[in-house]
Amino acid sequence: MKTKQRENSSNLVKVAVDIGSTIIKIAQLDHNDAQLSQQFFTRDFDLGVAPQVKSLLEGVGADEILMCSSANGGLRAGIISLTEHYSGIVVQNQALNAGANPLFVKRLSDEQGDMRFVDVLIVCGGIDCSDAPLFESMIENLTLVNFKFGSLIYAGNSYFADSFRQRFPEAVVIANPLGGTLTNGSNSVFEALRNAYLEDLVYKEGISELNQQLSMKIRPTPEVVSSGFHRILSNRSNIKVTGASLLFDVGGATTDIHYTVEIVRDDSLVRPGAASSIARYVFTDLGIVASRDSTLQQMRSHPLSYEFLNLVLTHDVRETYQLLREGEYVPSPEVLSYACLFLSLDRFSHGKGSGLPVADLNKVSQIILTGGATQNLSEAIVANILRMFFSDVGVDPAILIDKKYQVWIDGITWFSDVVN
Amino acid sequence: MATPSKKARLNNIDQYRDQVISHPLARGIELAEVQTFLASLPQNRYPGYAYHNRGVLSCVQPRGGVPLFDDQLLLTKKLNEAGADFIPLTIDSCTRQGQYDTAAQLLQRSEAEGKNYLNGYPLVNHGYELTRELYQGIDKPVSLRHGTPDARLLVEIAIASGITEIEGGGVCYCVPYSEGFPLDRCLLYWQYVDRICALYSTEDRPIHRESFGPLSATLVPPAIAVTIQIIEALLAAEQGVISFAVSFGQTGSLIQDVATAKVLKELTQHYLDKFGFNEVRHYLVYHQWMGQFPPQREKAAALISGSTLIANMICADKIVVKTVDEALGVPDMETNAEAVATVKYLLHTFRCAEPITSPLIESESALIESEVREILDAIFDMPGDVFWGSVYSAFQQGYLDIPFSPHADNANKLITMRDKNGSIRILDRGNVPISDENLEMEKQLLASKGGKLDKSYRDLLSDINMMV
Repeated sequence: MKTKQRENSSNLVKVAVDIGSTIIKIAQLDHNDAQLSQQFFTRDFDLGVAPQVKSLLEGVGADEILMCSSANGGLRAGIISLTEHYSGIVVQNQALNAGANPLFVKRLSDEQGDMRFVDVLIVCGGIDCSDAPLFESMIENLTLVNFKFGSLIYAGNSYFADSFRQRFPEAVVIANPLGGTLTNGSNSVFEALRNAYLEDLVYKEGISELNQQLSMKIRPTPEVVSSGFHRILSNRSNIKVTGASLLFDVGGATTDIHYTVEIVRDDSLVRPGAASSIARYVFTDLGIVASRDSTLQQMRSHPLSYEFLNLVLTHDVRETYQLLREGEYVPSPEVLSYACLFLSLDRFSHGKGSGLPVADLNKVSQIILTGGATQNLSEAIVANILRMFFSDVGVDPAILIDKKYQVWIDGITWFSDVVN
Repeated sequence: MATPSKKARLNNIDQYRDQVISHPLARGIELAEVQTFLASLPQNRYPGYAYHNRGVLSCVQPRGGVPLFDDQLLLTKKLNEAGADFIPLTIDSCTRQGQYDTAAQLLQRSEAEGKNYLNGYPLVNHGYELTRELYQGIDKPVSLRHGTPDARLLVEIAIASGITEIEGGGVCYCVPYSEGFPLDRCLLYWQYVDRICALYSTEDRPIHRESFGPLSATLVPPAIAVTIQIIEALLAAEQGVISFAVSFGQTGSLIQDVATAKVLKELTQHYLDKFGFNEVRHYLVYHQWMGQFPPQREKAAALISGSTLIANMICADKIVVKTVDEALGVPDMETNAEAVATVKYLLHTFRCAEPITSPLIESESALIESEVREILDAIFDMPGDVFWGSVYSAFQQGYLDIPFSPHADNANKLITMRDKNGSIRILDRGNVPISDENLEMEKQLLASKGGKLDKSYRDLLSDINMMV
């Protein structure tokens, strides 16, 4: 599949590549990071990803190649923390921003565990200090027998790192993100998971050869989207936003939301980690391909599913509703995308999801939809869906459907350390 | 490396503005109508004019905001009659947090029961048309006092109401006030506020901006207060603000107050000039004691009198006053008016044509100035493409650190104490880029005045509550 040809090779400076599960997207950029062209290629699983990407980039005279990938759907992470509202939420937020999918946050005192397999299990808690008898005893009694994981990371109170490693020699110790004062800690979990993601990708996808040729690391696509969102919010993008914003990235397996934290309600018990103006949450059961069935299942049982269909369909609403209820409805990808948007807004406005805060959607002044599944959506229908979650008093948020994948371009060409 | 620059100006503000003022509570504000209204106001309604005509006496400004319109009208008249040079409008805390629905409900309940369920005037809910009526016949500037991190809608309505002085800033209304409001968002929202103030300004009738220098009002060393004031002046100047007041709160040390005022005035001028903002007129505002007030009225009166004398000694352009009931809660309008009259009397009786000085003040000034320059140089040298980004990073890295701030981006590693004379000294600089020499000087001053370098928790509390 090839949608657009290169337009002006003389201005070409950078090439951005996104390796997806089924599609490889390539964008050619000039010296201002403006897009000269975009191309989409179906993944060739017989050839393998590294040879295919090398072949696609052959003869392209770019100074720089930037690459990201969502091919593995993100690392699955599990978190065991001293508290949910301090260490748990800080680590979860860094994991999400690094593009990982936290499946659970358990307390150190939790004896039941979680037997779902995670690629990385992170143990954390406390600030760095020697006088922490509660944490010390919990670490001493921790067994991890009720957890299934690939790698183990210790990101807790650094004074107890050695004793943790004595009990779990395979553990990798990283800096405590809470530091010594609960604030201004390091981005250690973010960095560790970003690197782990790359290693996982290299191992599973066989792109180590490709990675060696790149001047920069391959980045996880959700982290790139998060960077793009951050750049937009910092007034450093051609996309202009007017205030509190919410970005949806609807995909085949998951629906990601990235949001400015000021939309979290003051009375929300769950809050994103401190010292970050944006946060991410991933709905692992909402998507239009791999998660199609679970999305449909939820639409079927949702009390407002008729009202939803009334907004997105132009005719046969009653008949479609009946088919949906009976499990016989075969929706188009667009309807499924609208359903992902509807369900994620519904959950976000009620905080229905592990680690998901309650949002005050009335504070949102801008909605951005990005990703392949949103390309054919109608802004008018999106606006109608949004109105289901907004009160009468307030401003209708501006809606932007990112049809040129500008958020991705903004993210892959921007490095937050330039600013920070 | 990002230094303040006019290139950072928000020149495409219309697209942001359209959405902000499309809020139903903005009630259809129109730029042209507001411009015409502002042009119709008497010149005395503008702070620049009040400052220009103050002579040797500092202008006096009380605080004051009540939920009901009629009560606010009465308060305004009372403060005006008492001789206040600036009329305050203090905003309730729901509006400050953007909770306009809650403010509306509590306003309704206040109206129904005749009892105040809000701790200030809910300007956004009252709206600009009604609020204009508050100031009919008032021939003085009106000052918006709030503490709002995202003040875009509030300020639009305030200016449309005829309020010509806007207090606040991206740092001073975020880091000392809030635990979780993101600092980077706040800095960007205040860029908008500064730009709007600039757009409504004309050469002879500028909308005036004022920063809030007391910050957490708890053992803030002068170098930090001065640095943040200069930063906010520069951020406002980037957006085209041409009238700006830097401020600070009474430290508890006479020497340090006079030295702080000197450095604040001189360095604000220096850095505005350095970065090409020569058009900015700047003023000095002094806040009476912002820490815990003595509950005894006679002690409170003495404290107010003492700080009024200091305002005279530093030749402040304005003094923001407290009342003898400060320790007890929101003062009634009579007490508020009484405080204005007292301060006016003292200012007039003990007027001072020029700031006082002494060798001790000069050496204190030299130390503060040296520290401020070190901190600002480090911030200007930070990597980045915009100045506000450097300010944000400076907090994350602890270069800027406000003692006792609740904010998540504040390092809280800077430890300060009082020496025997009550001056605030830096004991542990944390990550604040102050040189070894200056830190040693701070410690020497702390020790030489009979102070202890190993103060206990009780000593620290005593330092905080020194006026009680």
